[in-house]
Formats: sequence, C-alpha cells, structure tokens
Amino acid sequence: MKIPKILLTTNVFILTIFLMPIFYMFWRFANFSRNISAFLKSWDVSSLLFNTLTLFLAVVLTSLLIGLLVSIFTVRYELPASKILFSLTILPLVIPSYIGALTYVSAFSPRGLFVDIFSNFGLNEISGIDGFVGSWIVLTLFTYPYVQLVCSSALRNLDSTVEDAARSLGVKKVKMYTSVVLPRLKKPIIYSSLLVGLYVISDFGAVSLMKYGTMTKAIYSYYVININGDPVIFYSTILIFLALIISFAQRGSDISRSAKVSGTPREMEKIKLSKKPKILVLAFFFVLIFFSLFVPVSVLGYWLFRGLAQGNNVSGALSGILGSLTAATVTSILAMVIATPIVVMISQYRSKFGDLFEKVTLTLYGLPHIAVGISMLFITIKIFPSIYQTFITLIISYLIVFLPQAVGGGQASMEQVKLSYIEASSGLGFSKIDTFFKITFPLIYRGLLAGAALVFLSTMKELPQTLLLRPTGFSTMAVDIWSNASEALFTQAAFSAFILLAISAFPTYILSTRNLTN
Amino acid sequence: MNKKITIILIAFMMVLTACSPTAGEQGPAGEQGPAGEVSQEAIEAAVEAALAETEAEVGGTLVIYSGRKESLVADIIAEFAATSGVEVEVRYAKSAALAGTLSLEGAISPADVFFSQDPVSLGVVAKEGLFDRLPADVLDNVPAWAVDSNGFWVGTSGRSRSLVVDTRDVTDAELPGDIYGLADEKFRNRLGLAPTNSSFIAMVACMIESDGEEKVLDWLTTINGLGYGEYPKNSPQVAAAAAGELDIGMINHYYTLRVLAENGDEPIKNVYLDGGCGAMVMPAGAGILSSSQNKPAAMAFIEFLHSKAAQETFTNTVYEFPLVEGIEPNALLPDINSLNSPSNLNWSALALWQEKAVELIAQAGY
Repeated sequence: MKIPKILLTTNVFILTIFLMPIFYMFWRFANFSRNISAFLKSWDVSSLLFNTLTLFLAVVLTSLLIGLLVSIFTVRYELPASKILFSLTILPLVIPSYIGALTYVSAFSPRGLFVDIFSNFGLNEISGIDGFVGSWIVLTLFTYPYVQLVCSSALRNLDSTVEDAARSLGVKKVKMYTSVVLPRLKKPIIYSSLLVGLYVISDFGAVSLMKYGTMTKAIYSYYVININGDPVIFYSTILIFLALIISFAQRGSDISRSAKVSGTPREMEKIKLSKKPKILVLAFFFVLIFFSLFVPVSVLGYWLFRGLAQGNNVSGALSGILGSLTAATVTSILAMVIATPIVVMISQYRSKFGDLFEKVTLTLYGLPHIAVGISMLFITIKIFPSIYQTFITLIISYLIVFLPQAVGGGQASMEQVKLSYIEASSGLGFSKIDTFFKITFPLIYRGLLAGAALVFLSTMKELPQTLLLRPTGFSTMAVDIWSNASEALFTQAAFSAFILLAISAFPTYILSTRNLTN
Repeated sequence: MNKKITIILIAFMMVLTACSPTAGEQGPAGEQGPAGEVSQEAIEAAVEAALAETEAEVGGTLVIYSGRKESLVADIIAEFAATSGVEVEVRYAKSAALAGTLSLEGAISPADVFFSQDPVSLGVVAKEGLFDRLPADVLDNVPAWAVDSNGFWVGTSGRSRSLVVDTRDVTDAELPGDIYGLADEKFRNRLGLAPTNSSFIAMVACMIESDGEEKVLDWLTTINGLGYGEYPKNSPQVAAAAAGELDIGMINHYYTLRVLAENGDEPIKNVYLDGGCGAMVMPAGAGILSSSQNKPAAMAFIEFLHSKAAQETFTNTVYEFPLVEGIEPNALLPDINSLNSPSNLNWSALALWQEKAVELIAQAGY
C-alpha cells in the first residue's frame, strides 16, 4: 500500500526539523577554521577519546553483570519477596546520574556522612571517590536497571525446557548459564549494553561531578570558556558521530526488533535454593540496594533534615517544580501528537523508506544532549533569533531527543492494528480520517500513552539542554538541583531532588512492572 | 470526536500560556553565612537616592546576565527590583560563558546589563563593540584601576588573587614570592587549581601579557607535570584545604574569608603573593549593552551597585573590597594598599589574551 502524500510530507517535514542539529554541527565542522591535524596534536583529543571509551566499556561490563544476575535471580529462583526485590532493584532508574554522583561525592568525601559512620568502625582512611573509579561506580549503579528491564523480560519469555533438560543431565549451574541461557539471550544483551553505552557517552552530570575528563566534560568546559570556539564544535561533532555509530550498531542488525526472544513462555517452576546460597544471593541484593538506593536517598534525606532543622527555606524550589511539570507535560503531549503519524507510517505502510525512516527516528534517542543543546543554541541565534531563549526552543530540543520513546511506545501497540481492519473500514466507505479516529487511534493510544509517560519522566530530569536553552528566569528541578548543589546550598538541592524522585518513582514502578504481567 | 480534539487543543493552549516564565523572584534565601549588617531600609533608601539622581523614568523589564553567583547577588537585585519598580529577569551562568554568549548573540541579545565576576570577560564583550560608553560621573565613582580605559564598563567591587594554604602542612617559609615559584619539585602533588575558572584564566592572560606565551606554557606544563588537584571552581579548593586534602590552592581571596567568617578555627589562611600576576587585584564590574531596550533601568541598576548599601553588602557578606570612597572594608580584609598587584594593568589588553590563555591551558594538558 502506498503511503498517503499528506502523511509522507508531514513526517519528512518533522524529521528534517529534528535532524537540523546534526546537520548544523556537521556543517560547522566542515567549515572548520583550523587545521584539523594541528588541532589533533595540540588539544588532548586522544586521551579524551580514550577516557570516554574506557568508561563506556567498564560501565557496560559491570552493568551487564549486575543486571543479568538480578534478572536470573528474580526470574529463575525462588526468593522471599522476589517481586519487592525486583522493584527495588529497578528503582535506581529514576535517579539521574548527577544526583547519584552528587550524593556519592558528598557521602564519601573525607569528611562525608558515611566516612563519619565508618570511622566508628576504625576505617579512617577513606579517600574521596572521584575520577574514573567514581564515574564507573556511579554510572554502573544507575544504569544496570536498563539491563535488568530488558533481560528479565526476555528471560521470562525464554522457554525453560532446555534449561530443565540441561539440569537433569547434571550440567553445573554456572556452566548451564554460560552455555545454555546466555547465548540465547544474546540479542537482549547486546541491545541493553548499547542502551547503557549510549547513556555513558552522553552522560554529563556524573563525569563533571567526578572530575573525569570525557568528551562531554570537555565540551562543557570549552563551552564555558568560549562557546563559539573550535573545540566545542570539534568535540560535539565527534561525540555525535560516536553516538550515531553505536545507534546504528544497535538498530542496524535489527536487534531492537528481535530483542524479544523466541519460545513459548510457560509457567515454570522456580528453582529452590538451599540455605547457604540463598543467604549469599540475599546478601548480594542487600549490598546492591544499599549502594544504588539507600546511599543516595539517605544522603538527600540527611541534607534535607539537617537543613530544615537549621531553618533553611526551601520555598525557592517551587518555581522549578512548576517549570519541570509544565515542560514535561507539554513535551509529552506534543511527543504523542507528533509520534502518531510516524508510527502509522512506519508500521502500517511497511516499505524500505519506512524502515529507513524508523532507523533514523530511533537514532535521535542516542544523541548526546549537550551537543544537541549547543547546536540548537547556535541555530536559534544565527537562523531563528525570534525563538531564541524561548520555551518553544526548549520544547523542540526535548522533542528531538525524546520523540523516539513515544514512537517506540506507539509502535509496540501498533502491531495489533491489522491492515485488514483498515481495508475493511475503507470498504465500508469510511474516510481515511474517520478510519484513523475510529480504528487506529483507539487501538494504539495506550501504547502512545506509555511512550508519553516515558517522555514525561525523561524531560523532567533532563539537565544539559535545559541549562543551555531555557528562557531567562525559567528553571526546572534539574537546573535547581545542579545550580544549588554547585553553590553548596544542599538543603534546596536535596528538596528538589526528593520531589523529582518522588514524582518519578511511581510511574517508573508501574511501567517496569507491566513487563512482569505481560 | 471533534469535541475531544477541541478539548485537547484547548487544554494544550492553556498549558502553553500558563508557562510563560516567571522571573527574577527566585533568590534563594538562607544558607549563605552571615547576612551582613545591611538593613532593608538602608538598601531601600539607597535605591531611592540612586533613582532620584537619574532623571530618566525607570520601569519596564531589565534583563541582567549575571556572572556573579545567585547566592551572592540575588538579594541585592531583588531589592533593586522591589524599590525601583523595574521588573528584573536574571540569567545566571559563568562570566566567561555569558561573555561568549553575548558575542554570539550580538545585536539580538535580550540582555540589558552584563554583570561580570572578572574584567577579562567584560573586556571580551567590550572588544566586540557591544557595550555603550558609560557617563563620566559613573566611572568616577570608583578608582581608575577598576575602570575600562575606554569607559565601556565600570568596576563594582574588588577581588585579589591569593593562595589558600592548609596551615597544618604548609609553612610560610616554603612559599614563593611569585606564582612562578610554585613550579617547584617541593610542591609535587600539593597544588590545586580550577582550570576553567574565569579568574584563573584572567591570571593566565595577565601572565601572557607581562611574561610572554613561552614562559606561561612552560609554567603550566611544569605544574601539570607536578600533579595537581583539578577543581571545577574556587570554593571546593578552600573546602579541600580545610579538610586536609589540599595544601595550596590558587584562588580568589574571598572564598577563604567566607569560610573563616563562619568558623575562625579552620586551619587555613590566605597568602597574598609579593608581586606579579599571582597578586593581581581585579574588579568585578558591569556594563550596558548597546542593544539594550531599557537603558534608563540599566543605568539605574549600575548606579545602585555603587550605592552605600550595595557596597556594604559586597564587603560584609562577600568579603570583597568596596570600590566607592567612604565605605569601610570588612575587618577580615587586608588593606588593599598593602597588596602588590601589578600596576597599570590594561584590562582590554588582557581580554585579547583570553583565547590564547584558554588554548595554552588546554595545550599544557589540563
């Protein structure tokens, strides 16, 4: 079936606008004023690239390890309160890396909260956590839930008869997982590692607070000194390029589509553990939840209560809370609206063009926010000054990076809409528009809503684009946390952070447990 | 069906209109140490006096790009807004970042005033020809060293470069007389600095101007080779020195004084070098953008920064040097005349070196 012209034009128009930041950055790079080879020599390109990639590999590996262990334990083994354990280990997902890093820097600084506690046990010499190790720990603790989300649902759908057979043949547990289970989880594993990887290379908050020199940190440092300078353009381009490579590796092999594994899920008997291993597994969960949830939340709580007891005022947080909610509401509604024609086109009219369109749209997800923000800043100043520093620009730049989440949500439910329904509808004489509102939309709106919820959550905690593009005087919780913390106003920072986590926790819980029941 | 769409659209419009930014009202209260001895009434009186001097009618909206921190200036700005009736919107960021933003924006800039931490960022904007010249009576409020030679901006308070030292680990005798003396084996792994801090960059620009590129690159490379603690800005260096993590940090003087004002027992102190760029005294200052749509309010704001109330706030809550005559400096401050800042520093010349300074800092591997 041919794609209707209106649909095609609308979508191409939208995508062109959304790709502008990439094009603009590449165009600036092409018109580089400096000799590139001299540049490579005089600026610390290789070590920044090396740092970025080392962190990428390290975090991906540890996140995979933790995420897989959590998935296997909660899905395959009989543990007390396993649903609660599953939810508690998912929840660190709501903690943005900059909040996580902030609490870690503070808790483990030589005079930090936890050092005080540990020193009672004779551990005086704890040096601060920062640099590579700090970034590694913090990013792992707040990204492993991505692996857990993807791999646990895959594992749940994985036919366990092979495992049962292997077990009855006396294959040892570890061997069974490495030779039977993991190979069949290959696609979800690759998919989730790339998801984590994209997060790592675009992360700005954690590496800045941990003082670890990666590309994003370099971009921000150079931006602060000379926004229009070559280094900003240079590193932004390289970073976008890196993200594109990872995204294409992820989408190119169609891994995302088949991240669902084959096999008939069936109610399987969970494996019982004897006492000793059970205690070990529970200890693992205890340690994980302690560091990924208890440490950050208790540091925030400590700041807040200490500050409130000292009579510090937190009413300044109100405008940021309103700002975040407004921005997130507008962005998620618009994302839903814009995603609809895209979803209809790529899933209902399957074509080569549609496939390409899908890949390009989903690629937007991995774009480093700081590079998109800087590009949008240039574009609005140089080309569209009338929307410079306006709410419109901020929303467009959110939509650019978060639209794929809405598209993904819609796509999942679009699979229910059979082409035959639509043909039947037009056979009955309904117009295309009527068909859309009577048949297609009612079937996909749930998926779109779920996607919009994700957009809402992401927008609320977005930091670098908001810092760069917000209208003067407009702030969000993320901006308040960042700027208050950088001025050591921890009571205010903690208050905003608590509100942000509280608002995010419930929907994240709902969205993540949908996987359990499906 | 159509009804539903209409409802959604209306809801959407309502959201859109509800989100016009509310500005200039978010001064964080509390947590910034002693509030100084400036009373509300004194500030109000000063604003009124300042306003009475400017014949022009002030009002409307004033957009300030402030490189000075929100926690330091929000209260002063709020007072100005309250008493002048001007609606003030403030965009806070680092001074250098705002200078870069202003150069990029050019004539389309929404800003009326640029309020900067350091003279080099002001010089960058002046160099682009984006400032209006200020009238002589405003320039004459402060000493000549704290004014742009072309009259494009005026100083509002003074700050000195200094070293914060951990008095438990550092003796006066081992400290050098100038900044180049820090490039010494005995300071291996004992130094701290903030390579992206505007004042540090200003100091490096001063060094290039007076000693030449080669010597500065050499110094930066040696310091890097000795191992140094990298900090995002000055205040964490003071905290690190107090915590015993850092022996010597290259900072501006008032960060140490703020900590000492809160707790006089902290084992840290400021050391002011004997001369050279490491002893530089710089003005923080402000200028009016040529593209401003509200110059009367911009002028009233700058005059307000020279009022007794604002000057007393700068010295008593921020521990900077007041620049207007007749204002008593805070007791924690050294006598400004005892400092050995290089004489005849030309701020616009330093601005020309800013980009080179950044490049050398990167080139030396920071």
